[in-house]
Amino acid sequence: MILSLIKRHLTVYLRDRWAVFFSFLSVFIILMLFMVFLRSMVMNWYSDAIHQSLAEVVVNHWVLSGVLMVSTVTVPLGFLGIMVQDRETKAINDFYVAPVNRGHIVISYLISALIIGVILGMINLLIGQLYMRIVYGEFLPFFDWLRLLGLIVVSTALFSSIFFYVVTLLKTSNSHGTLSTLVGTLVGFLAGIYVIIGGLPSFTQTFLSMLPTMQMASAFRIVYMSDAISQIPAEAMNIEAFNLNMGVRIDLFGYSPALGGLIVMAFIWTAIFVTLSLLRVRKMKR
Amino acid sequence: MKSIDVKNLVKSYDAVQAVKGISFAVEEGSFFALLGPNGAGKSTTVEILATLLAKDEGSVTIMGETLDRDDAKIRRHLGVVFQYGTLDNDLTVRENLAARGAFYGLHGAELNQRINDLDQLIDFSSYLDRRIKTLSGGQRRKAEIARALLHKPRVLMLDEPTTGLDPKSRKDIWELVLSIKKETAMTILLTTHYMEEVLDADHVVILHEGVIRAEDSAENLRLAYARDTLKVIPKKGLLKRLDEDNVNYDRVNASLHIPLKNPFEGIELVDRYRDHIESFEIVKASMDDVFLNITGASLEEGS
Repeated sequence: MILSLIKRHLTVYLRDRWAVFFSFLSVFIILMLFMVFLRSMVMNWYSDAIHQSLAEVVVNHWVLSGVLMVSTVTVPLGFLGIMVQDRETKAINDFYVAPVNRGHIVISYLISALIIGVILGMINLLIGQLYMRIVYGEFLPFFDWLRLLGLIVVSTALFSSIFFYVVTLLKTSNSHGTLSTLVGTLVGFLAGIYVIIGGLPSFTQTFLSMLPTMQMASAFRIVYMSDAISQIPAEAMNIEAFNLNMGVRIDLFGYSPALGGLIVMAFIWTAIFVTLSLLRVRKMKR
Repeated sequence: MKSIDVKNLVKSYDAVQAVKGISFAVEEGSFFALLGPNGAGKSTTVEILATLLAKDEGSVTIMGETLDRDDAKIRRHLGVVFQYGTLDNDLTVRENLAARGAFYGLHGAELNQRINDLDQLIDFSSYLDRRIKTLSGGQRRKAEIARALLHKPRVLMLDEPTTGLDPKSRKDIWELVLSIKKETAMTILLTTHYMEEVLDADHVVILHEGVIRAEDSAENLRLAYARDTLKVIPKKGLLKRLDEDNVNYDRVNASLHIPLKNPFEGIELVDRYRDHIESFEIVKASMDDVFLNITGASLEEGS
């Protein structure tokens, strides 16, 4: 039964082209900003230190990893609008009068958000890699592909659980729209994309590093950029400073978590919000 | 056997008591109507019976299963048509039915067979593969009814199924409801504020401000709570004759309205005073009159 619900949710979401479009709006905005000024701004910083073509690959991988991470935030949030809408229009009552466990009905939205987030994240990764292949002849090593696929799953699960909890508190599609606009606007900052984290005051850097958006952005950058960064000659620049400046690594009170540490943090965040969500689901039973 | 048995049902929303201790029973296979204006407590009652809303007090059994204890079993017996649309606008009727059919284990050939069977009753094959958002109000309602009947429920709950429809669609939906009554053995529980819709019901409960004010068959309610009326345009001398014979009447503009115990009394009066009557008609009491006499309010006014 839960599979039928998931199939229904996904079909309803994918048939609403505007909902899909708006789920990717932040991604489009980032790509647009990148083309308009972000790219040249970052290139100016590093093109003196490293070869132009390598700088381009590094910067492109930096933005593509950010875009990939942002899609794992905005797609689940956009998708969960269906749950808000079903509750607002009382369409969900049609499921509640069927012999289906209420908890299963509610959880089906969470699982669907995860599935759609992962699928669209994979498509996002594929498009980004095709672009890099066609324009720069670059292609990530197979192992990095696998690591990125794993990260897409982890990140989508994390943000699905956060937004699932949040949308259980919302009553109208209007409030969901407002939340989506807010998140869509902020996520570029919270992940250190619109403004590079190294350019922010120290307190703000620490604050952003405590948020899951920055932590997951760091995780995606570590994997996505590792191959490109490894090509930078050691004498060309201080790689550690570069990593901290570009948000490849984050500084949490003197601790700079590696990929494993960031994934553990993601699991902790997910566990917290899944627990909160389950408590909400129990409350939602009639 | 009773399909539904409700005893002392109470439900409040904050300080407002929507249902105030009502009790009623619905016989299996019967057509049962809850009649009342908006705010009478009809939809609250249906939502409680449909396991959507928790009751505050009272007991409910449906097909022998106890509400709150056997909700999953109860849901297997129920088909519910809500006042509002619950089907997905961007899916076709068939896709909607397939999604809901899965809840009851209906897939593939079995599901298609069931849809074909429903088509015999509902006649919806011409728009089965169209998206809900492209359908007319009447077609959408038929699709909602098809969804409710998909799993052959033993109890069909229709919560104001014709509200918001144009007259033609209302007529179509009503004919469909009567077909369901005629061709299936299922119990039908209807809520409505249209008095003409309860005339076909086996049993009518009049609900007003959360309280049952009367219940019986539509005909018995009419006989008990409203009088047929003889309306006459009098000739000279009729008023004098009526006064002499102590016949009650009301003057309404140029006509006289004489309340009757039954239509035959009207024929008798017309025969007795035929020389003093210009013209006449015997007007049957309506359920609106019944409601007015019982509650002091009309169905349109509500409370």
